[in-house]
Amino acid sequence: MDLQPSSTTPIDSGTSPHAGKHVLCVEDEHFISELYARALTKAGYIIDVESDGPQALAKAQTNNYDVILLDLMIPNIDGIEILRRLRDPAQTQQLKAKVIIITNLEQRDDVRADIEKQADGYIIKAEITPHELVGFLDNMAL
Amino acid sequence: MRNWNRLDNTQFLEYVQTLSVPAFEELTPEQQAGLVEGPGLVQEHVTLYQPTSPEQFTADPDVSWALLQGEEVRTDQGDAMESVINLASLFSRPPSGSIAAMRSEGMPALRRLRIIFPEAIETLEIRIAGRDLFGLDRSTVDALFYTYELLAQLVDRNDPHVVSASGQVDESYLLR
Repeated sequence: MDLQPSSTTPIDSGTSPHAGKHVLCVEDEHFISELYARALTKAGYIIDVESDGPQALAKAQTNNYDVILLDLMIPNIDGIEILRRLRDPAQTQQLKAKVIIITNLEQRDDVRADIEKQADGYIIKAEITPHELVGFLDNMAL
Repeated sequence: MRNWNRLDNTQFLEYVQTLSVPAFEELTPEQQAGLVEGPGLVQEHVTLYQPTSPEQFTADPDVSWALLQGEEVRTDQGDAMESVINLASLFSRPPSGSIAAMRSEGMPALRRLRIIFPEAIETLEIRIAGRDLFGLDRSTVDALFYTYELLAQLVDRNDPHVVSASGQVDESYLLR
Protein backbone atom coordinates (compact mmCIF):
# COMPACT_ATOMS: atom_id res chain seq x y z
CA MET A 1 0.00 0.00 0.00
CA ASP A 2 1.30 3.39 -0.87
CA LEU A 3 0.12 5.75 1.77
CA GLN A 4 1.56 9.04 2.82
CA PRO A 5 1.81 10.33 5.45
CA SER A 6 3.68 7.55 7.08
CA SER A 7 0.99 5.37 8.60
CA THR A 8 -2.67 4.97 9.17
CA THR A 9 -3.66 4.93 12.79
CA PRO A 10 -6.76 2.86 13.35
CA ILE A 11 -9.57 4.78 14.88
CA ASP A 12 -11.86 3.23 17.38
CA SER A 13 -14.70 5.60 17.45
CA GLY A 14 -16.29 8.88 16.96
CA THR A 15 -14.07 11.80 16.82
CA SER A 16 -11.15 12.51 14.59
CA PRO A 17 -8.45 14.99 15.59
CA HIS A 18 -9.67 16.85 12.53
CA ALA A 19 -13.35 16.78 13.44
CA GLY A 20 -15.10 19.71 11.85
CA LYS A 21 -12.71 19.87 8.89
CA HIS A 22 -14.41 20.09 5.50
CA VAL A 23 -13.91 17.36 2.91
CA LEU A 24 -14.96 17.59 -0.71
CA CYS A 25 -15.45 14.10 -2.06
CA VAL A 26 -15.31 14.03 -5.86
CA GLU A 27 -16.69 10.63 -6.81
CA ASP A 28 -19.24 9.64 -9.41
CA GLU A 29 -19.96 6.21 -8.03
CA HIS A 30 -22.70 6.72 -5.50
CA PHE A 31 -22.08 3.54 -3.57
CA ILE A 32 -18.50 4.60 -2.89
CA SER A 33 -19.30 8.21 -2.09
CA GLU A 34 -21.83 6.93 0.44
CA LEU A 35 -19.13 4.74 1.98
CA TYR A 36 -16.81 7.73 2.34
CA ALA A 37 -19.57 9.93 3.68
CA ARG A 38 -20.59 7.39 6.32
CA ALA A 39 -17.05 6.72 7.51
CA LEU A 40 -15.87 10.33 7.50
CA THR A 41 -19.05 11.79 8.96
CA LYS A 42 -18.90 9.28 11.79
CA ALA A 43 -15.36 10.47 12.53
CA GLY A 44 -16.54 14.06 12.65
CA TYR A 45 -15.58 15.39 9.23
CA ILE A 46 -18.03 17.53 7.29
CA ILE A 47 -18.56 16.02 3.86
CA ASP A 48 -19.66 17.49 0.59
CA VAL A 49 -20.03 15.08 -2.34
CA GLU A 50 -19.80 16.06 -5.98
CA SER A 51 -20.04 13.67 -8.93
CA ASP A 52 -19.64 15.99 -11.90
CA GLY A 53 -16.20 17.19 -13.00
CA PRO A 54 -16.87 20.88 -13.77
CA GLN A 55 -19.01 21.35 -10.66
CA ALA A 56 -16.37 19.65 -8.55
CA LEU A 57 -13.72 21.99 -9.94
CA ALA A 58 -15.88 25.02 -9.20
CA LYS A 59 -16.47 23.86 -5.63
CA ALA A 60 -12.80 23.08 -5.09
CA GLN A 61 -11.85 26.54 -6.34
CA THR A 62 -13.98 28.17 -3.63
CA ASN A 63 -11.18 27.17 -1.25
CA ASN A 64 -13.71 26.19 1.39
CA TYR A 65 -12.29 22.73 1.92
CA ASP A 66 -9.48 21.25 3.96
CA VAL A 67 -9.29 18.01 1.99
CA ILE A 68 -10.34 17.06 -1.52
CA LEU A 69 -10.74 13.35 -2.24
CA LEU A 70 -10.47 13.21 -6.01
CA ASP A 71 -11.42 10.22 -8.14
CA LEU A 72 -9.64 10.08 -11.47
CA MET A 73 -12.53 8.80 -13.56
CA ILE A 74 -15.36 11.30 -13.34
CA PRO A 75 -17.61 12.71 -16.04
CA ASN A 76 -16.92 15.76 -18.19
CA ILE A 77 -13.54 16.75 -16.75
CA ASP A 78 -11.41 13.91 -15.45
CA GLY A 79 -9.59 14.01 -12.14
CA ILE A 80 -6.17 14.57 -13.68
CA GLU A 81 -7.40 17.68 -15.46
CA ILE A 82 -9.08 18.95 -12.28
CA LEU A 83 -5.82 18.46 -10.41
CA ARG A 84 -3.90 20.31 -13.12
CA ARG A 85 -6.29 23.27 -12.97
CA LEU A 86 -6.19 23.36 -9.18
CA ARG A 87 -2.41 23.59 -9.34
CA ASP A 88 -2.38 26.23 -12.07
CA PRO A 89 -2.04 29.68 -10.40
CA ALA A 90 -3.71 31.28 -13.40
CA GLN A 91 -6.86 29.26 -12.75
CA THR A 92 -6.90 28.69 -8.99
CA GLN A 93 -5.68 30.86 -6.15
CA GLN A 94 -3.32 29.16 -3.70
CA LEU A 95 -5.25 26.05 -2.71
CA LYS A 96 -5.71 25.48 1.01
CA ALA A 97 -6.95 21.90 0.66
CA LYS A 98 -4.83 18.78 0.56
CA VAL A 99 -5.68 16.85 -2.58
CA ILE A 100 -5.84 13.08 -2.26
CA ILE A 101 -6.17 11.05 -5.44
CA ILE A 102 -8.29 7.99 -4.83
CA THR A 103 -8.74 5.67 -7.75
CA ASN A 104 -9.75 2.28 -9.06
CA LEU A 105 -7.29 2.44 -11.84
CA GLU A 106 -3.79 1.27 -12.13
CA GLN A 107 -1.62 3.81 -13.86
CA ARG A 108 1.58 3.47 -15.79
CA ASP A 109 4.47 4.27 -13.45
CA ASP A 110 5.36 7.51 -15.21
CA VAL A 111 1.74 8.72 -15.20
CA ARG A 112 1.35 7.83 -11.55
CA ALA A 113 4.61 9.57 -10.63
CA ASP A 114 3.42 12.69 -12.41
CA ILE A 115 0.09 12.63 -10.55
CA GLU A 116 1.79 12.02 -7.22
CA LYS A 117 4.00 15.06 -7.74
CA GLN A 118 0.92 17.26 -7.91
CA ALA A 119 -1.16 15.56 -5.24
CA ASP A 120 -0.77 15.24 -1.48
CA GLY A 121 -1.64 11.56 -1.46
CA TYR A 122 -2.47 8.70 -3.80
CA ILE A 123 -4.77 5.86 -2.76
CA ILE A 124 -5.99 2.82 -4.67
CA LYS A 125 -9.45 1.68 -3.66
CA ALA A 126 -8.47 -1.97 -3.63
CA GLU A 127 -5.73 -1.24 -1.11
CA ILE A 128 -7.58 0.60 1.62
CA THR A 129 -10.62 0.13 3.82
CA PRO A 130 -12.97 3.00 4.73
CA HIS A 131 -11.55 2.78 8.26
CA GLU A 132 -8.02 3.21 6.94
CA LEU A 133 -9.12 6.13 4.82
CA VAL A 134 -10.27 7.91 7.96
CA GLY A 135 -6.96 7.06 9.62
CA PHE A 136 -5.10 8.41 6.61
CA LEU A 137 -6.87 11.76 6.83
CA ASP A 138 -6.44 11.86 10.60
CA ASN A 139 -2.70 11.56 10.14
CA MET A 140 -2.43 14.40 7.67
CA ALA A 141 -1.30 17.83 8.75
CA LEU A 142 -4.41 19.86 8.06
CA MET B 1 -16.24 -31.02 -12.41
CA ARG B 2 -13.96 -29.32 -14.87
CA ASN B 3 -10.53 -28.30 -13.66
CA TRP B 4 -10.75 -24.66 -14.56
CA ASN B 5 -7.24 -23.73 -13.73
CA ARG B 6 -5.93 -26.22 -16.26
CA LEU B 7 -7.57 -24.34 -19.11
CA ASP B 8 -5.17 -22.11 -20.99
CA ASN B 9 -6.27 -18.57 -21.76
CA THR B 10 -7.59 -19.45 -25.21
CA GLN B 11 -9.56 -22.43 -23.92
CA PHE B 12 -11.00 -20.28 -21.17
CA LEU B 13 -12.07 -17.64 -23.69
CA GLU B 14 -13.69 -20.31 -25.85
CA TYR B 15 -15.59 -21.51 -22.81
CA VAL B 16 -16.74 -18.00 -21.82
CA GLN B 17 -18.00 -17.45 -25.35
CA THR B 18 -20.39 -20.38 -24.95
CA LEU B 19 -22.05 -18.90 -21.85
CA SER B 20 -25.45 -17.27 -21.90
CA VAL B 21 -27.73 -16.19 -19.10
CA PRO B 22 -30.16 -19.05 -18.45
CA ALA B 23 -33.82 -18.74 -17.59
CA PHE B 24 -34.57 -18.96 -13.87
CA GLU B 25 -36.14 -22.40 -14.33
CA GLU B 26 -32.93 -23.75 -15.79
CA LEU B 27 -30.92 -22.96 -12.68
CA THR B 28 -30.28 -25.48 -9.92
CA PRO B 29 -32.44 -25.23 -6.78
CA GLU B 30 -29.37 -23.93 -4.92
CA GLN B 31 -28.81 -21.20 -7.49
CA GLN B 32 -32.46 -20.25 -7.47
CA ALA B 33 -32.46 -19.99 -3.68
CA GLY B 34 -29.20 -18.06 -3.78
CA LEU B 35 -30.71 -15.49 -6.11
CA VAL B 36 -34.00 -15.18 -4.29
CA GLU B 37 -32.46 -14.94 -0.84
CA GLY B 38 -29.51 -12.87 -2.01
CA PRO B 39 -29.41 -10.17 -4.68
CA GLY B 40 -32.90 -10.91 -6.02
CA LEU B 41 -34.03 -11.62 -9.55
CA VAL B 42 -33.80 -9.35 -12.54
CA GLN B 43 -37.32 -8.03 -12.99
CA GLU B 44 -36.68 -5.18 -15.35
CA HIS B 45 -33.72 -5.09 -17.69
CA VAL B 46 -31.91 -1.89 -18.54
CA THR B 47 -29.74 -0.91 -21.46
CA LEU B 48 -26.25 -0.04 -20.39
CA TYR B 49 -23.29 1.45 -22.16
CA GLN B 50 -21.50 -1.21 -24.15
CA PRO B 51 -17.82 -0.31 -24.25
CA THR B 52 -17.24 -2.25 -27.44
CA SER B 53 -17.53 -5.73 -28.80
CA PRO B 54 -14.48 -7.96 -28.69
CA GLU B 55 -14.39 -7.86 -32.48
CA GLN B 56 -14.45 -4.06 -32.62
CA PHE B 57 -11.89 -3.86 -29.90
CA THR B 58 -9.51 -6.08 -31.79
CA ALA B 59 -10.00 -3.99 -34.92
CA ASP B 60 -9.48 -0.68 -33.09
CA PRO B 61 -6.46 1.02 -34.69
CA ASP B 62 -5.56 2.53 -31.32
CA VAL B 63 -5.07 -0.92 -29.89
CA SER B 64 -1.77 -2.59 -30.51
CA TRP B 65 -0.43 -5.94 -29.49
CA ALA B 66 2.94 -7.53 -29.21
CA LEU B 67 4.04 -11.08 -28.83
CA LEU B 68 5.62 -11.49 -25.43
CA GLN B 69 6.71 -14.90 -24.21
CA GLY B 70 4.34 -16.49 -26.65
CA GLU B 71 1.34 -14.39 -25.67
CA GLU B 72 -0.16 -11.42 -27.45
CA VAL B 73 -0.04 -8.55 -24.99
CA ARG B 74 -1.53 -5.07 -25.11
CA THR B 75 1.08 -2.41 -25.80
CA ASP B 76 -0.99 0.73 -26.40
CA GLN B 77 -1.63 3.23 -23.62
CA GLY B 78 -4.59 5.25 -24.84
CA ASP B 79 -8.26 5.53 -23.93
CA ALA B 80 -8.85 2.00 -25.16
CA MET B 81 -6.56 0.81 -22.42
CA GLU B 82 -8.59 2.66 -19.81
CA SER B 83 -11.70 0.81 -20.90
CA VAL B 84 -9.95 -2.50 -20.37
CA ILE B 85 -8.57 -1.48 -16.99
CA ASN B 86 -12.05 -0.44 -15.89
CA LEU B 87 -13.49 -3.75 -17.03
CA ALA B 88 -10.73 -5.67 -15.35
CA SER B 89 -11.26 -3.80 -12.09
CA LEU B 90 -14.81 -5.21 -12.01
CA PHE B 91 -13.39 -8.72 -11.82
CA SER B 92 -10.13 -8.12 -10.03
CA ARG B 93 -11.09 -9.66 -6.69
CA PRO B 94 -10.01 -6.84 -4.41
CA PRO B 95 -8.92 -7.71 -0.87
CA SER B 96 -11.80 -8.25 1.54
CA GLY B 97 -12.82 -5.12 3.42
CA SER B 98 -11.27 -2.76 0.91
CA ILE B 99 -13.31 0.03 -0.62
CA ALA B 100 -13.16 -1.75 -3.98
CA ALA B 101 -14.34 -5.03 -2.43
CA MET B 102 -17.24 -3.32 -0.69
CA ARG B 103 -18.23 -1.76 -3.97
CA SER B 104 -18.08 -5.15 -5.66
CA GLU B 105 -20.13 -6.81 -2.92
CA GLY B 106 -22.64 -3.98 -3.09
CA MET B 107 -23.32 -4.56 -6.76
CA PRO B 108 -26.24 -7.04 -7.07
CA ALA B 109 -25.46 -7.85 -10.71
CA LEU B 110 -22.00 -9.12 -9.78
CA ARG B 111 -23.48 -11.27 -7.04
CA ARG B 112 -25.99 -12.71 -9.52
CA LEU B 113 -23.19 -13.41 -11.97
CA ARG B 114 -21.20 -15.26 -9.31
CA ILE B 115 -24.23 -17.36 -8.38
CA ILE B 116 -25.03 -18.30 -11.97
CA PHE B 117 -21.48 -18.84 -13.26
CA PRO B 118 -19.46 -19.48 -10.10
CA GLU B 119 -16.53 -21.39 -11.56
CA ALA B 120 -16.13 -19.17 -14.61
CA ILE B 121 -16.18 -15.94 -12.62
CA GLU B 122 -13.86 -17.27 -9.97
CA THR B 123 -11.47 -18.42 -12.67
CA LEU B 124 -11.58 -15.02 -14.36
CA GLU B 125 -11.00 -13.27 -11.05
CA ILE B 126 -8.06 -15.51 -10.25
CA ARG B 127 -6.55 -14.91 -13.67
CA ILE B 128 -6.74 -11.15 -13.20
CA ALA B 129 -5.85 -10.89 -9.52
CA GLY B 130 -2.38 -9.58 -9.02
CA ARG B 131 -1.66 -9.22 -12.71
CA ASP B 132 -0.37 -6.12 -14.39
CA LEU B 133 -3.56 -4.94 -16.06
CA PHE B 134 -1.51 -3.15 -18.70
CA GLY B 135 -0.15 -6.47 -19.83
CA LEU B 136 -3.20 -8.69 -20.00
CA ASP B 137 -3.11 -11.25 -22.78
CA ARG B 138 -5.53 -10.90 -25.63
CA SER B 139 -7.68 -13.90 -24.73
CA THR B 140 -8.23 -12.59 -21.22
CA VAL B 141 -9.12 -9.14 -22.55
CA ASP B 142 -11.67 -10.72 -24.88
CA ALA B 143 -13.01 -12.84 -22.02
CA LEU B 144 -13.54 -9.63 -20.06
CA PHE B 145 -15.68 -8.16 -22.81
CA TYR B 146 -17.81 -11.30 -23.09
CA THR B 147 -18.23 -11.46 -19.33
CA TYR B 148 -19.25 -7.81 -19.23
CA GLU B 149 -22.01 -8.62 -21.72
CA LEU B 150 -23.31 -11.31 -19.35
CA LEU B 151 -23.04 -8.99 -16.37
CA ALA B 152 -24.94 -6.22 -18.13
CA GLN B 153 -27.86 -8.62 -18.62
CA LEU B 154 -28.02 -9.17 -14.88
CA VAL B 155 -28.57 -5.55 -13.90
CA ASP B 156 -32.04 -4.76 -12.65
CA ARG B 157 -33.54 -1.32 -12.93
CA ASN B 158 -34.27 -1.37 -9.20
CA ASP B 159 -30.71 -2.17 -8.13
CA PRO B 160 -29.26 0.66 -6.04
CA HIS B 161 -27.89 3.55 -8.08
CA VAL B 162 -28.86 2.14 -11.48
CA VAL B 163 -31.39 4.94 -11.84
CA SER B 164 -30.28 8.43 -10.90
CA ALA B 165 -32.26 10.89 -8.81
CA SER B 166 -33.50 12.44 -12.04
CA GLY B 167 -35.01 9.11 -13.12
CA GLN B 168 -32.47 8.35 -15.83
CA VAL B 169 -30.73 4.99 -16.12
CA ASP B 170 -27.02 5.45 -15.48
CA GLU B 171 -25.70 3.75 -18.59
CA SER B 172 -22.17 3.69 -17.15
CA TYR B 173 -23.33 2.11 -13.90
CA LEU B 174 -20.99 -0.87 -14.24
CA LEU B 175 -17.98 1.10 -15.38
CA ARG B 176 -17.68 3.89 -12.88
